[in-house]
Amino acid sequence: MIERLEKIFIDEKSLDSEVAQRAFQLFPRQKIEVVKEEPWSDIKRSLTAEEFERSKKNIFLTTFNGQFFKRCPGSTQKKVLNCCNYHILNLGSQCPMNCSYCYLQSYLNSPISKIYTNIDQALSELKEMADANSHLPFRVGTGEIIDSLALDPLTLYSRKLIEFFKQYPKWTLEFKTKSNLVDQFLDLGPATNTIVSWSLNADYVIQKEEHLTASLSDRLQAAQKCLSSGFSVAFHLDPLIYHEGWKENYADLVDRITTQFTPSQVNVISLGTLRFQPEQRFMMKKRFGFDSLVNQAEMFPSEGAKLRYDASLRNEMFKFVYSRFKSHSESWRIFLCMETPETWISTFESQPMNKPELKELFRPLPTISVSE
Amino acid sequence: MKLKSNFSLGLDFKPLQSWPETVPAVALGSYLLCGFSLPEDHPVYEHPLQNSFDHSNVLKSLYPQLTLSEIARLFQTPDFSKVFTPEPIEKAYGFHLTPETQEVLSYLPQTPESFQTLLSQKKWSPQDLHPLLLLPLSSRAFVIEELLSHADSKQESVKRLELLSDLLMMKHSPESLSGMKLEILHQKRYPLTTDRDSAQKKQDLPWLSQIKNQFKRRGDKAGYEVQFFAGTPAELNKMAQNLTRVAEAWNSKS
Ligand code: SF4
Repeated sequence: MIERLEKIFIDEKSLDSEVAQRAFQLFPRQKIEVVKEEPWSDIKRSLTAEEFERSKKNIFLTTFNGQFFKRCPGSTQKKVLNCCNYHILNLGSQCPMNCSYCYLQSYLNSPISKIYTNIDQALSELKEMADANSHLPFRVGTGEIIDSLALDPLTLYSRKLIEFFKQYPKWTLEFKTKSNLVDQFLDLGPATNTIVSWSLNADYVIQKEEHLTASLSDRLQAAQKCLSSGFSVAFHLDPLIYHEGWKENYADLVDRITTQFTPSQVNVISLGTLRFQPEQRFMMKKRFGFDSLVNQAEMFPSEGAKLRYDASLRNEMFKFVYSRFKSHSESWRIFLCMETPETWISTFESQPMNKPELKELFRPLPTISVSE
Repeated sequence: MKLKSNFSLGLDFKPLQSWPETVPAVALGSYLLCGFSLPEDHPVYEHPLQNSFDHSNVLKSLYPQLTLSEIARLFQTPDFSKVFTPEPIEKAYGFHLTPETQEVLSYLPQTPESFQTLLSQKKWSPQDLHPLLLLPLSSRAFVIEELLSHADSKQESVKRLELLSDLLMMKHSPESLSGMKLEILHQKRYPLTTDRDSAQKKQDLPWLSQIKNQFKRRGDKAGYEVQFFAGTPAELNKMAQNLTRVAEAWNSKS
């Protein structure tokens, strides 16, 4: 994955960082440039499609001066969405892969990928909060505005984080990825409070929409490796995308998971259907045209302002995938991501707090002092 | 005060409001800013033109409001770059400085005048026009024709533009879309949802005749809008019982 990077810009202030030193080992010197300022920093507006493409191929290693740790956007919309207790640690931004539906297309304004080199500062911020709340089961993810592992062969941040979380067994670290890059941390297992999670999709959807990501078999194989090394594993079947033959394709996906894993091996499975911000439409159409299932999709404004499929179609898709899992075993732990109470009730006939296997995930926890 | 004949008309952007004949016109240096169509002997106040100075505030005080089409025309005038730069003007008139806005502004003056007028009258924003930018020039002309030939409201026009742009990109031919009602375009763009909605609509549910009901779509949900009048508690009870029966029947059919 990191071979796709065309240029590595290193902030001169970060030259001594471990990541910068590693970049010098991994990349030919002509790919690296030491700079005083962020490249293309004159761009102070939303990006064009071409600038967005460029931002995926160029990376800036620099320090971050804000707060590294924040709450999941779903948990700040509790009035309209059911969301689990999730916190986010941002150690960089942008992603070298290229999914047609990626929300970074409307979220990011930065003209270059970034890796924050001051991870030690992030860890001390985290330590302060973990020390004060070590008895509570908080979950921390690193894959909000960057894929957790796609650039990990460069940063090796997974190693630092896994070691850190070993000191707080009640806290859970979650990596979220569409890559198969796990070899760099396997030797640190067992670490059951590190969940390595994969966004999975039907093979057909991966090929059509999730460009430059690992294939389904490679993702599942990487998950097996993690399990064997003593890590926890989770799957996000998200976004489920409607297409001709969706039932067969998603049945195949569920069957592949259930034949290769047992319910006790998979921490949790979340389901979500396609959704995106209306502002994102233009960029998606420009970048991926109408061969993309995402642009062909019939989307409507929904609660929380995002565009989603018709509610009854969403229910049908959730019910189908949910029943397919349950037909293999009742023990699969499944929840809906970023969904309204109505959808929960029509899929499961209950709210998440009333499902014994999900209660712990959705139990309200005190808000810890992080920015909203 | 000088006479209008002494000034350049190189900033004439065909403003929609004509300048009053009883008031002197205003120029920035030798460039007339208003009263372009007044007689040659009309008096003009000459505001000094300073190099590297943002003159957008002068424009804003003469024209507190300018439409998208007017700004687009102003940007294309031959003397524009001698007096202004685009960014302060875009900011002064509340447009977002995006590359798409710039594309809209440079494209608009090439469109028929009637289209520019339509945009001005209905106060279109640059974002409303984004779907047009996705199309090749040849298809844009067709879409503009369509927008001009329907007496739509602003909201309907914006919707029509997005539907036409999507459908053309989905390889529907212009002939198959020409002159279509908005509802038909919607059905073509959302065939799956249209089918699901009409299947639901056809359901034979045991409504009381006193309960007015209409199947409707609201965003991502479709369902019944129900209206009734109850004059007594007994009537209300009767309606409630009927609603329960309808709910059961609806549930068993879906
Ligand atoms: S892997 Fe995730 S972050 Fe990367 S492009 Fe796909 S959706 Fe976006």
